[in-house]
Amino acid sequence: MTRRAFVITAVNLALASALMVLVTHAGAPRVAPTRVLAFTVAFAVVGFFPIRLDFRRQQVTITLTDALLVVALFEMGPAGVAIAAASGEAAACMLLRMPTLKTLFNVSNRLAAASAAAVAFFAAGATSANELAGWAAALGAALVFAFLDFAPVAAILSAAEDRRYQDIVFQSGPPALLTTAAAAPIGIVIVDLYHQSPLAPALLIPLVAAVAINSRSAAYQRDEHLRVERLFAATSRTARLVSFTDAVASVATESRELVTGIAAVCAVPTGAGEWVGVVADDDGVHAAAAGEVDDLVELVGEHGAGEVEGSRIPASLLAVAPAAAELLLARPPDGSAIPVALGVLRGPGSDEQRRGRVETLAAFAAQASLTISNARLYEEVEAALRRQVDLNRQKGDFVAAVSHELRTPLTSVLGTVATVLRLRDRLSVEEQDRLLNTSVDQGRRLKRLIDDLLLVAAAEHTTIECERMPVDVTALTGAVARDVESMLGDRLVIEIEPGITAMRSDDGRLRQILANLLENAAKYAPTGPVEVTVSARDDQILFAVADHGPGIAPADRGRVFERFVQLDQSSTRTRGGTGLGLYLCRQLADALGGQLDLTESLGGGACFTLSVPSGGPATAPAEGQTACHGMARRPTEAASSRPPGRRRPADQSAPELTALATGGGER
Amino acid sequence: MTLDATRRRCLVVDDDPSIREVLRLNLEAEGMEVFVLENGELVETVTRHIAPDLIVLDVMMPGRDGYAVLAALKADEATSGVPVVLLTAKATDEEIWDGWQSGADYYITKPFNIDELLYFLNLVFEEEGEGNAAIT
Repeated sequence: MTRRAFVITAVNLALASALMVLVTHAGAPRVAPTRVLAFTVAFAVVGFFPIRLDFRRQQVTITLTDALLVVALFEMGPAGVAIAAASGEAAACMLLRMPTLKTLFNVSNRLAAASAAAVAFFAAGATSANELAGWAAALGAALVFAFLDFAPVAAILSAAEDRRYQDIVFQSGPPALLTTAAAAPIGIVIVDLYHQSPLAPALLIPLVAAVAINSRSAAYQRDEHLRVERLFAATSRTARLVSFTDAVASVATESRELVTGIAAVCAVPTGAGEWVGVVADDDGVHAAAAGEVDDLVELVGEHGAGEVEGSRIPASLLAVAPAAAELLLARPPDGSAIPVALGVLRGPGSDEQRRGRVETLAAFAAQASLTISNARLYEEVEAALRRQVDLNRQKGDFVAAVSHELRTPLTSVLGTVATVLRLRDRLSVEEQDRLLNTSVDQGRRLKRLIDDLLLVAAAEHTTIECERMPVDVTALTGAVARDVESMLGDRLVIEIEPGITAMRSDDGRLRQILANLLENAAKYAPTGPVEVTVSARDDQILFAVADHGPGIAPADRGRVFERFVQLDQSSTRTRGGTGLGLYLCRQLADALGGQLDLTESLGGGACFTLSVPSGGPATAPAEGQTACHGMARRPTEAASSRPPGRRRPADQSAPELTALATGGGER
Repeated sequence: MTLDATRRRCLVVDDDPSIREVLRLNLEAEGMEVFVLENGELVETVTRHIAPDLIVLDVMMPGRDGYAVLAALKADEATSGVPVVLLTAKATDEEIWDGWQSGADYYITKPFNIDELLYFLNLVFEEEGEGNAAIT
């Protein structure tokens, strides 16, 4: 596009020079310096105060240049007209602070157009503003001027907006020519009045002033309207978005288009005190670098809504759009749903337009904040809903699993006893014993399960009470072995480090944990030995339960302790299990003041290590109960979990306990 | 409730040893010849081999579950005629419906009543009439 401008400028200058040479040869009057100067000033003034009018929904800029040109045509020779028009334009452009290239382009345009118009007028030969011939010549010249002024601009526009040259000419050309046709006669009238009476042209000033003022306000209103239209369109496009990333990207894209920028940066806080941002440019949308985001946020924090001119744009942001001449900033008003930092880099523009653009951007920023916060909320709600659905499904699975787990041992209890009753004499004594023992085992298993479930049910609500009594480690492991005999039989290997002195803890809880771990081992490691190793380290007693099964992958080692989590859902469905065991074990371990860890065993399987404070006698409180954090425990469980021979303090026992205790109070 | 003297064959498939024992004792007491399997792997093969008059099949087993085994049995002409009793701890309405839909001839939930099972057996054998009386 720049190349095109250069070419056109050159062509203009060449044309102007040619015409001037031609006309001077043909004997045109010489240049009168004072007049030229006067008209130059006049052209400059007129160029500086354009009048904008609406003509059939198109914005048209009328300058009184056309009128002034007509006056000049009558009052000066062609050379004078050309020089005055061009110089005046140059002055006006400089006053408007236009970039050099644009100034050069405009001036060359003006020069060529004015030359052509003046030469045409001269050629027509009419000189009186009072005659039809004079009017026709002036009008014709003005139209030539308008056309030659417009044609090159159209060429530039077609390159910039990527539209066909013919389209632009036919769309914008006619209005331009018509406005010239409207303005030129004003010039003729001025000349005519002047010749009748030098002060008469002053009579036109009020009219012109009124038109100028009116058109200015009309132009302003039209700008407002356009701005609101575009703002509305941009807002409705972004309002529909429910994805957070989409919303932010869209805000950046829309901001860029709204104020015709080269690139736009939009940054939002993540909630962790950090900001993230995206950049929208010709290539689309991509994530913004941290430096860009930080600089933008800082600027917006300092300036609020406003602009930063070229030299003061931070390097990181300038790198996004090196051709930028200004950076427009915007942010939503205080108290908005979510803070947003918006920055749009654009090429140079007039002060007035910049103000309008900053306002537009600020209005959009308020909307953007709403849109983004909306999208974020939507995502959060969606996530919460999904979590809830997941949880519901897990609970449903849990209920089904519990149902199965309870029914299975119950079936054995009822079935075995019913068999004895039905077939009594037809069974040998050994067979009857076996059946009845199975009933007892399975009944105990059922009881353990019920205990576990009740513990979990109360888990959130109350604190557990743990005992702190002397624990005989050998007796403890013996009891646990009996608990799991039907499941593991002689696969169970117990090894107790020699010299472990008695520990003080809650043996019922320990038994619960160990039985649970061993049941798991039996379930998940169907073959090979299961080793229980008891050792002492510092002030802790360690119980390690190791199997030779497939083990647990490192990625899953944290998860297995969560509630309702069972690895390999398909097989546990058939294997049974509640997904609670390890969760409970860990809660109980916590309650005892210890911890439960998972590592890999030497055989490749899983190794669970329960470490519990050994509870040195010197520091222990008086025999009795210590409250630990954890889950609730009911008196019946406490009593029945203790091996026979130990009596709880009298005030703690409940009447129903005696019945249970006499029936062999072991779990 | 007793069956007639002809030794009928029954195949019991369940991963729980105590349930296998209970079923074996009770069915033998009724004069049946009982075979047991502890998982679903070989059920079709064994069925083709021994031609049982009845299969008692647990649903929740490690490896192949009862539904898969049942589907395979019904899909094979050689085995599809053998009546199957599904045994399971699944007792929600939906699961019972699934059970009936699966093509089982009978569906019993655990804990089960032995008499209920034997009642069904009787129905099955009465229906078959003399046709299968010649099984060894």
